[in-house]
Amino acid sequence: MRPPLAAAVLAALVFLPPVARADCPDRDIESAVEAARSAAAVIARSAVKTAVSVIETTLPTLAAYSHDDSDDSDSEEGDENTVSQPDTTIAVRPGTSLDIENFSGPISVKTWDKNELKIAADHGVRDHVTLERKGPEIRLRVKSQRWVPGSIHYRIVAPRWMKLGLWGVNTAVDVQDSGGELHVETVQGDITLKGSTGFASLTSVQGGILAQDVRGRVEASTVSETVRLANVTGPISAESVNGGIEIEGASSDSVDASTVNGPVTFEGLVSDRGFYRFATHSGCIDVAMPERSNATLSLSTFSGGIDSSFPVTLKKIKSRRFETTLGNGRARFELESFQGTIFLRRPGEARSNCDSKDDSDDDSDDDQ
Amino acid sequence: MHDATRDPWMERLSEYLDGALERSDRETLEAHLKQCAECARTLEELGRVRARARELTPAPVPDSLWPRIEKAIAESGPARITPLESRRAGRSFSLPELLAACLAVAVVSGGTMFAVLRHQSPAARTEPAATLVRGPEPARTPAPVEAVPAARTEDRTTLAPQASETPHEEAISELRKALSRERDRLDPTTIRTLEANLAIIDLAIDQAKRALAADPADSYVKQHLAETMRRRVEFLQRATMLASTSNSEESR
Repeated sequence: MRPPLAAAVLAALVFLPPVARADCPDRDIESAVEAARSAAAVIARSAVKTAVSVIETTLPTLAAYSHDDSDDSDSEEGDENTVSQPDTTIAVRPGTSLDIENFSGPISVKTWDKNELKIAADHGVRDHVTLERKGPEIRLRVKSQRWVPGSIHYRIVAPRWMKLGLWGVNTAVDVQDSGGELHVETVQGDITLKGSTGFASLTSVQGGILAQDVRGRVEASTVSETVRLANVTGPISAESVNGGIEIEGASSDSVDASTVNGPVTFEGLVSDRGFYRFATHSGCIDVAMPERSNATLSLSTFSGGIDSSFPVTLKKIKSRRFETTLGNGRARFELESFQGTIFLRRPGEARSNCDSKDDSDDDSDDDQ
Repeated sequence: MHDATRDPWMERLSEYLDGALERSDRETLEAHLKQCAECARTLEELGRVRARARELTPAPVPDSLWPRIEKAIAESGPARITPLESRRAGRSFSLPELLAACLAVAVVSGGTMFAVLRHQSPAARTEPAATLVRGPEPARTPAPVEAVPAARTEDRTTLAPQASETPHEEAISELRKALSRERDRLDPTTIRTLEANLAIIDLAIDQAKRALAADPADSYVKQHLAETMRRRVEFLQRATMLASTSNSEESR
């Protein structure tokens, strides 16, 4: 029996009225456990409410404060040891930021046009969420009776303008339609950003990153997964070590994407004032650009190749650097793969087999 | 990890100082410098670092270094990397470049050790393959480009303390040691992930070094090596920060 469950049974024996205990014959263990669960849940819910009320008294600067017991439609069922904190909605002034640190469990953030912050959290009975206010920053933290905090599932609805800082260890982060500055960092757990505007810094170690339909500067960095950026309008910086970089539908005059072991693919508009750099050590580079673009392309590879689906004339600049000019050559492209092939193609044309590592592995196998 | 104000021209300032930029790029950058105070300031700082570096003499190798190198070699076992096509040997960087790199790494790594971050490490997930390199891709070169010699390298590299060959790598070694001291605070899966990815970067550096040894004048390989070494520094900083954050979390 797990310790929390044992504690719950013990709590039931202590707190349940004698009548209830009489209804639990010793041989009917399941009924006893069920009763204990109910009692533990009641106790835990009561504890959560107490914690929230303490916070309420320590936040006199908040303009308004309310509880809402309605559940979000996307809430997930917790296990028997999980309680749902009553939704907490507080009024916030423009300029307020939200900072969440979570050891484990997902963080989901949606936005609305109200100047209110709605917080819901599902967590274990031995954890509780504290809400602190420090200047213009609201912080959500976990206080746990355990050495390692349990899993907390945050469901946040924030004003669209709110600046967000979301930090997690084993935490998947999902943000939709945010309009303020955004910083997300996880050790494990994917990061997803959709429909947002404003600067976004997305960093993970073992999590993949997806940013889609985003306007504003995006800086995405992971170590062992793929970075995917779709329909990003604004400067892009993307980095991985053992993962690919996929950029499509981009509208940007500054793109810097690099990895060590993985492919880099790009498809998007080419600005005459743009600077585009794509680099990998062990992987392909696949760039789709209109044939009539105005761009100067510098292509470098040590042991790879260069392949274009439209006619280009490569001029050898140095031993392993080549250059080709399209149109008036205004935009600048730097494409570098130490040992992979650099592909140029028209938008909409089938992508090369640059996408997956498996393809390259197959190539390797065939070659041996 | 990135500076919000990062500017693509920032990474080309060194080339500008070297006089290695094409004329058109040089003119564009000079126009950019008039509008970008950050780039102008960085250029000035770079110039000062280089000037200082030229005045420095090589630091003597500490007596304690060789035992560490021996230990590292013993622990790492035989290298299993097939050399790239060898042509002629040569140096990779000038002394001022190395010293400037050393200065930069020392400054940055010193700051890193005191950085307080927010995270701690955890449970598990998939770890990346510890192997990186594949055979060369098939040559598909319909465009009129000179054939590029293929490199063939083997599949594995081991992660172990690296012998310090240059001041830059000695600084890297210090970062590795710092990480080694803190690694127990990280989750084993995260450690494996970090080590596997560090091995990937190390292997890439090794391949670039071999390529540069084969053709010391190759500006692309030289730049690629510098870029990959920069990435290794950043990676070690990041890993060390993760561990130190774990430390601060545990002490709460």
